[in-house]
Amino acid sequence: MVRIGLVAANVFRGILSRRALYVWAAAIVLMLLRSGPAIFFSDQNPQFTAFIRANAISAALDAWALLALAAAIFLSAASVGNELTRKTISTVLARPIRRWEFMVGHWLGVTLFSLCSLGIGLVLASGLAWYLGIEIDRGRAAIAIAQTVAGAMLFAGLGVALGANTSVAFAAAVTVLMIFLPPVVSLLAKDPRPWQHYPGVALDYLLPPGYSSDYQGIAWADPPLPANPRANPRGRQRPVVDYPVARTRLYTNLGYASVYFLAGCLFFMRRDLRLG
Amino acid sequence: MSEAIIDIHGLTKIYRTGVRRTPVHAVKNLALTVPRGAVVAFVGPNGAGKTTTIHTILGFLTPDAGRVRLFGLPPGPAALRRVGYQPEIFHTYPFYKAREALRYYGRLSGMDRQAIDAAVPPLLARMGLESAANRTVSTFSKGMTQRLGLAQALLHDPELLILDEPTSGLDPEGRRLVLDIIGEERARGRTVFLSSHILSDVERTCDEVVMVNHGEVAFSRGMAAFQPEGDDWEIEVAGWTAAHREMLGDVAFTVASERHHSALLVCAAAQKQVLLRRLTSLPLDVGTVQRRRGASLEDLYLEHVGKA
Repeated sequence: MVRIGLVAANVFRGILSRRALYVWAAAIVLMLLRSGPAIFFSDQNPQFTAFIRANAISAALDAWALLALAAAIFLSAASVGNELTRKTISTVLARPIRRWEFMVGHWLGVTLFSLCSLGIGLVLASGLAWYLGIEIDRGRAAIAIAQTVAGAMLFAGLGVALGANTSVAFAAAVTVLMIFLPPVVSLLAKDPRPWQHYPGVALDYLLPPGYSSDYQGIAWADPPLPANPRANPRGRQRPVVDYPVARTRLYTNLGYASVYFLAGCLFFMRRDLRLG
Repeated sequence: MSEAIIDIHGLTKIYRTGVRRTPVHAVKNLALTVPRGAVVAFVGPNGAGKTTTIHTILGFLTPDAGRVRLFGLPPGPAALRRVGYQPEIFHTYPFYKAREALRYYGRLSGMDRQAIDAAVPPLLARMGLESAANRTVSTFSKGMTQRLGLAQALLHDPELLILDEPTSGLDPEGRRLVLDIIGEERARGRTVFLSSHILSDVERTCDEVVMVNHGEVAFSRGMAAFQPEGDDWEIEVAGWTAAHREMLGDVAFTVASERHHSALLVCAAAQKQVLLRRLTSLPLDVGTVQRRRGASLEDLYLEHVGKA
């Protein structure tokens, strides 16, 4: 455990020393782009102002969650791969540390950074909500954050597993695909045509349910009634969170993360490390 | 017989390259034993299989055939606990200060904080890095980085030091430091397995030399074999023919080599004056006269590599 912690701390520090400022600066810019106008917005209609501001809080949290996931994907893919290409791995693995411990350390280090990024976003968004007088639904926030944590663990696990056994570019590309493929796979699996259905079913087993954002509606104010009340009625209703479904998705993502990571560890433990 | 710290039998490692996965033998049926307390040099040209062998000893590579044992154990955490390894070019994390890097490696080696805090300052001083202890590693010169690499290998006081080209990239002062440290470690009874191209370093520091070429052991012998041989003398002569040998039949000498009417004659010290007198009386051109040396490590190296 000590060695895993040491490697994780080393990975975390390495990210902080070089990339953290870029990730966090990007997140703050994105947050300001999505929520900035709302901070300064005021209207004669207080209901409309509250609606805009609540949307801004949800959007800001969503942006931070996406940045945290992007960090998990790209940093994890490069994590072990960079140790191999820069050969820093040789003096680490020449010590009494098992390869799986090294990989778990990398997984934890990247996930920790990703969650720290999310944490900063949460603090900033909570401060913004307090400043704007918008209340955050804690139940929704909890499940949304848990989904992000599971997503970060999934992508970091897959990225580290692939990055340790393939190239950094391939690992990043496949991990990014994991964001976009699950919805397509669901559609394929539901398609009755055999050429679509069976590959869809097969892929459905191979792929996790993927990340789903539950941040929309985390802060809510009813929108002002439009001139035509029948227009876009769904836009005026707070999104419903199906908690059991969300929990199942969360656990399934964590399960897939563990399986992918375990498979990556097994390959990494058996592979030759050709360090030139 | 002393305990074998490194014991390799029939080691074969094949790399597969290219689209067709063409097999390339990096190491072929290599056998090697490093006894406790010995300083063994592992020499050979580039691509001979030295680093592949070292990486197999450390468990980075899995042998395709053969057996590797470290302290009687297969390469793994239990054996690596007792090993200090310095790679040919030491790469470390650029964000660490020297002291922090050593702390990280020390903790990974199982040392506690107190032991590290006690060991690091004298070790940095020994490496001439005490003034750079709080400098970021990314600002280090190549020589300083290599010395830090040696420091991390020595930090946990390992029983076996595996040094891959330890003097590479070092100035003469740094090279002398490394050789002195190897000598000190030998005096402390530590075992050193040293890969090097610099044969003068090997001659100076090692007890035994193992040369590999094309992945196979070309020769393996103790350094005593490279000491000057007896009290014989060598005399070079030009214009030599077989008839001259008969003319000198009453003098004891041997012809060590003969080529293009030149010959290298060898005789005992007692016969030197007689032979020289007889040679100068013949229509021969007498060249260098010198005490006979044993074959140097360099001679043997070049002979096996085929570049002489």
